[in-house]
Amino acid sequence: MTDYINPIPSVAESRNPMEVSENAQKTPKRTTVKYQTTAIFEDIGEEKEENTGKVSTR
Amino acid sequence: MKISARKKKKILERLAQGDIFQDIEIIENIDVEKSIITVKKISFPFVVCLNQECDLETDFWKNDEVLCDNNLLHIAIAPAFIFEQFLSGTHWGEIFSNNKPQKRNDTTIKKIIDNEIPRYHYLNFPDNDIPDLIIDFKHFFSVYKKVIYDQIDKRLCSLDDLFKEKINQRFSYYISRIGLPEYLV
Repeated sequence: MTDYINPIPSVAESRNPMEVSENAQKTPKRTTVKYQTTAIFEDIGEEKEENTGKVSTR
Repeated sequence: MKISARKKKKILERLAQGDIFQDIEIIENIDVEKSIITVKKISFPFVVCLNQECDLETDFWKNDEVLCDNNLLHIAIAPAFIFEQFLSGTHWGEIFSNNKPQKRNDTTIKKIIDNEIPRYHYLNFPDNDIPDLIIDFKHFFSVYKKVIYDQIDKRLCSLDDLFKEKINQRFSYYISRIGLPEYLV
């Protein structure tokens, strides 16, 4: 039996197609939302050293 | 008129090259100043996925929890517009000012319909259930992969193989052009 390298893609269930009305004005729209907090933003992320500074060469 | 787009009958569970989405919302910018966060979003009426099919498939089957540089961080997409609104010049809404209106029998528009102008890709669907669309390659951009997968229900259709490959072939041609300066500085 052949083992395929890639699994066979799964197919999404068929559903009702979305409708598009040609007459509807469909243009990009920009929206701006402002949020305010009563607190002060602080960086609570722990510093994580990703780079050890060691240079490894062969 | 030549058919320049045909939908796939079966839609993959994963994102595919040439998938067309409707009403996709993208975060344009987040600005934080003291205690105020300003979030600017743009809702695009239509966008088309431009990534390579093999990359999208590899990305889908790889486990995101495993760090792997074969996975994708962002998805390349290009906006598309209803062709009639493109002709009217109002297709960008309030994002850009209106273009001069054009007619279907204008020479430039005829070339666009025949996909002879590299910047644009005209899509005409034979079933007429989707209006004629036009992709503008100039405004392609990328979005975080999760943004697209979170809105996968907004997928309008997947394009059939030859048609989606044509889009990518034309996009790569357009993006690889070399523009020479018109005037010496």
